[in-house]
Amino acid sequence: MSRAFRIQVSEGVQRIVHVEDGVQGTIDVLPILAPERMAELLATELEKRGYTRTDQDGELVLVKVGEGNVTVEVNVRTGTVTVSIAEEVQVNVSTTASGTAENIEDARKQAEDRAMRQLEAAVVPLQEAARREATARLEAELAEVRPELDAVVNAATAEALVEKARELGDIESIEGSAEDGNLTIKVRV
Amino acid sequence: MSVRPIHECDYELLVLLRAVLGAGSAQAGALLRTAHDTRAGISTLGLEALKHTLATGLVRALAHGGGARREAFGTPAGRLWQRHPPPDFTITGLPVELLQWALAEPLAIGSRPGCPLRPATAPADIVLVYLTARLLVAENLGDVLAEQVLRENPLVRLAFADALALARPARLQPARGEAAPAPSPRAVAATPDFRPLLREHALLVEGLCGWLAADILAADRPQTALADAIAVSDLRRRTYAAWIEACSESGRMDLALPLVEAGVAAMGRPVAPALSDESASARDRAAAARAGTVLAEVVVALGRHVDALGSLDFFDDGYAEARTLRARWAALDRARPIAEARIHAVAGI
Repeated sequence: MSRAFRIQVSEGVQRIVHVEDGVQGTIDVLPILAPERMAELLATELEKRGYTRTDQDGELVLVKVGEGNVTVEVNVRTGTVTVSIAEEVQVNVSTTASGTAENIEDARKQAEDRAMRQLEAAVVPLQEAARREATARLEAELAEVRPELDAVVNAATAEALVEKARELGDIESIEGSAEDGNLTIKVRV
Repeated sequence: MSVRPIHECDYELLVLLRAVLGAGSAQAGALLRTAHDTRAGISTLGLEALKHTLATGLVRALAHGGGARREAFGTPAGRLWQRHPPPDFTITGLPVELLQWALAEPLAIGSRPGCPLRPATAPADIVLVYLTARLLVAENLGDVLAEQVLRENPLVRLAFADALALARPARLQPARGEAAPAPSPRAVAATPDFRPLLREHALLVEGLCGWLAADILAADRPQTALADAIAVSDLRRRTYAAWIEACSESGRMDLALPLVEAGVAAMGRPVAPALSDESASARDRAAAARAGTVLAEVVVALGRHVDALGSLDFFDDGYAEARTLRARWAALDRARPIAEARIHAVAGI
């Protein structure tokens, strides 16, 4: 009668997983002035709100890293806005597995192989949980970014209207504000 | 009236045919999911019953599908049979052979013999194959639409672009000892050419405009996977654009009515999440949302056609027809701002 050996092993692993998420869209800016000037007005308004100018492949992109490690990038020439999050997260998993064979070495190898497969499988849901948590932070930041960008566009538009009015003649009065969304400019031509 | 018994397989065929023709049958789903021996063919008595059912059922289907509506498809307003003389509706053996094939093997199984039938060319056959597709989709057997006789039917292409985008052709069972074949790729559907249908059989579209609109609207639903949402939206966009182009080229913009009705109805209901999986990433949900604006884009595109019609002067050719169409499609004016807002919303952050 042959003997069978049953080996049980406990394994643990610390794994660094990469999680990321992001959305991209556009903001609409009325072409009141030349495109370059509109872009500069947008950049100025974004800088007032904590954005930093960067050059990305020759494009002027204003960048801010907000709450929850979420990055907001605005290409002021194209109006493209990218809101993204990318992180390295450490996950720890452990498991116990057994192997049965006619010799100890084979039984141990079987147990270790089984344990590694279980560990790899256990990492997947943890990575997905980390991704969902990152997505939740991204969406929380989106809720802040949307009204902020609306305010930026309104302010840049109002400034552009004032500049345009100056080109037409002498400004007699300006009533209302970009915050209100109502602006009345009287111009003597 | 005497009652004459018919053979069991004639009975099963008749039950299925009645379900296809809209008479309804709780047994249809079970019939399609089990195998039946059809080798005996159709008896003389069964054939008589089939012919009668087909003749009356086809007329009834065209009436219920939209023909009974008082429409003015480039003619004085009236019902389908008031606008047109009786057409030559010869039914070949194809629709019944399709049902016999459907009865022979359980359709819910991914491995089954393929259907050897070629696409229908006779107008009555085109209608009956479309009605068969309606039953299959209603019974959650959309994969069967991958069969050539169904996927190359122009009415099926228009109505079920979603099911076609996801349909996977059946594979035969592997022989003993052989490995199971890999899953089939989706039945890739090239952009259809609707011009022959509109040129030769426009009456079918008029008679089925109501059901076509309902099917197009039903295709506007969320998918569970992003890849599916993108595949469905891609095929739907190409299909509806091809339909509008064919209507324009054939001078029959009035035949875009199914898209008009579906688009207006879609804009009248709340926006549904494009992905049913709420735990999906923001990136995937945004991509799915962009994929979910198909009917909004149709409304905007048709609105542009209406604008072009409005530029005709009273002395231009087609002025009267343009006025009729603009009046008939008045609901588009109300739907268009909603459609534009939805498209704009998914383009933004």
